[in-house]
This record gives sequence, C-alpha cells and structure tokens, in this order.
Amino acid sequence: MYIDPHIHMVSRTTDDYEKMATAGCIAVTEPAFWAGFDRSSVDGFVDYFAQLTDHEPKRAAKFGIQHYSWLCINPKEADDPVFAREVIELIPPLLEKPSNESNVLGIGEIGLNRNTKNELTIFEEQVDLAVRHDQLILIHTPHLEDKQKGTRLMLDALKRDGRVKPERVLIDHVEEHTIAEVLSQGYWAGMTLYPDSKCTPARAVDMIECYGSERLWVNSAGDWGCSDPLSVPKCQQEMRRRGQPPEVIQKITFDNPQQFLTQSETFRAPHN
Amino acid sequence: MATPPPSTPPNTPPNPPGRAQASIQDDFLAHRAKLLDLAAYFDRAERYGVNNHALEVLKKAVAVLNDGEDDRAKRLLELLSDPSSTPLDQSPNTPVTGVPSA
Repeated sequence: MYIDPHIHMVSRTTDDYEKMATAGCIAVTEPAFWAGFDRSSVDGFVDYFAQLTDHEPKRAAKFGIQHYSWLCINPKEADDPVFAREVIELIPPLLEKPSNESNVLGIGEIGLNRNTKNELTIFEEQVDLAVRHDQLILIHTPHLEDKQKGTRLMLDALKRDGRVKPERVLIDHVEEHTIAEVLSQGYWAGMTLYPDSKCTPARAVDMIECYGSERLWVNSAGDWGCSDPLSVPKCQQEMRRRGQPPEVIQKITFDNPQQFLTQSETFRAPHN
Repeated sequence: MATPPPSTPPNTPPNPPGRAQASIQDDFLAHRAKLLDLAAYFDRAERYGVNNHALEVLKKAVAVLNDGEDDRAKRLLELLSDPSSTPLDQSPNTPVTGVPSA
C-alpha cells in the first residue's frame, strides 16, 4: 500500500488510476499547478478548482483511491501580481467548507519558477493566506539551475514571516544540493521521482540512506512532462532491492505522508 | 496519539549490507552504458559542430566525477546551479536550460 502525495491527475488518463490502484495506491494528493499553457482569465481557475475539488475525487473513487487537493496560484502564473491576486481571492470560500465535505488539504503548490520579485511577492502572500486560514503548505522548488537559489529565497521568506510552523510545510522536489537545508530548518522534504529533470528512485533511496527517514516522502508528480505515475512503487522496489527493511519502506511511502497530511482535518487516514 | 512509526537514523546502511553491495554490482552495466552515452553525446556534438556554453559547463561537471572528493551528486548540482542570490526584476522569458547562464 502507498500514498502518492503529489501527483497531477488532471494530466493523466483514467488508465493511470487503474494502474496505480493495482500497484497499491490508496490515496493521492493533487496540488494546483500550471495547465501547460497560461490560462486566459480567472474563470479558468474557477473551473480548474472545481475539477480538483469535485471531479477528480469522483474519478479516483471509482478505483478505491482517496483524492485530496491543494489550492493556489501556481508559480508559473504568479509573475503577474494583479492576475495572481484575483485568483487568490477565489480560494478562501473553498477553505471554509466543512472538513467532512472538503478534499482541500491546504495551499499548494506555491513557490518560485524563475525566481522573480513578483513570484516571491505572491509566494509570501500565499504563505500569509495559509497561515491566516491555518492551512498546510506545499511548496514547489524551481527547476534545474534555478532550484538552489529559489529554495534559499523561499526558506528566507518563511523565516522572515515568523509565523510559519516548519512541521506544517512540505518543500518538494528536493535534490542532493537542497535537501540538507530543508531538513535542517525543520521542514518536511519531498523527493520527486521524475525522469530527466528531477530525481530518480535510486538517488532518492541514496538520500534516505544518507539523511534518515524522518520528514521525508517520495512522489511521482506525474504531470505534463515525461513522468511515471508508478514511480512510488518503483521506489519501493529499489528500497527492497537494496535490503531496506519493510518498516522503512512503509514509513517513506505511507506512514510519513499520513503523518504530515493528518495535520489537516480534511485528511481521512486510509486504512493500511 | 498513535505511536509514531520506527525511524531510520541518518547514514544507516541497509541491512543486510550484502544486498546493498550486490546492487552496486547489479547496476554496473547500466552505469557503464550511461557513461558511454555521455561520451557518444560529446562526440556527436563535435561531429555536428556544436559547441556552446551548456556543453562547456557539462564537460567541466564531468571532472567532478573523478576528483576524489565525496558528495559528487551534490557538487555536480551546485555546479549546474545559478549562483546568484537576489530575485530577478523580471522573468528571463526563456526556458530553463539545465546550466547557469554564461
């Protein structure tokens, strides 16, 4: 059994739900992200948030998978602050639904894309939104050459805010040059198993062996690029291949996601 | 509150260690192939007359693999990262390339 705590099911076919369920997935969480193109109006986000909070949970439920979502203006579309703030205004009503009727876990995946001042301003405003509404935070760290700089800019911003509880923040897509800073400052760290531009199962298991199994999870972030919705069970297999004990495999791929996500009243712990 | 699951401290080698060491042997051919792929990629770039900043950075990065120091993956990623620390006034409006700009 496993939880995939970061996967963009809107970009996957229904066949992927079937494959994931067969491989043992019992819950997914889906952050709000870029559509593959820049949406032309705020109305595009109205429909997208409805897709995340209403349609996808129904699609997942047909395969016995619990589906949760995160809401935000994604980093790629955050460089226009006027537009970004109009989208952010859509979010509070969606946070006010009773927890037993909602699938919203928090604000995410916020972050930086090219590390611009506007992106950072909108990041800080969404952190403020999360803190004011007592929501969990899921953070996207930039791609490739921008990742280290962006991670540091965001860690500094979180520290400056002063109200953020690190144990309620997951900083995702860490790699070997960012994981130490994230973990040492008390945040959770996500390793995204995404060929070419992020991490592989082998490197993720290396990081688990080097940094331990606390406050770490793995995810597939299956989205518009070449990605594999079965990355998490493949990481489980890599851990088995290297002789990692079953309890560590369960911790990384089930217990840790559950531990972090149950900090939201919305998350209903799936049976393992 | 439920009992927290067991945790693995940092730098704990897998148990039994024999299986971890066996995985190094099992993975050898795959990584030999990756090295050959990289060598062929550099040869191909030369045959096509392509020589650019990104390729030069990649060639420098290769030196990290054999410099005798540890944390190769971390140092390689740092070499491939933007070293600046202040936010940009505006987006470059060019896609990321995988290497810091010249």
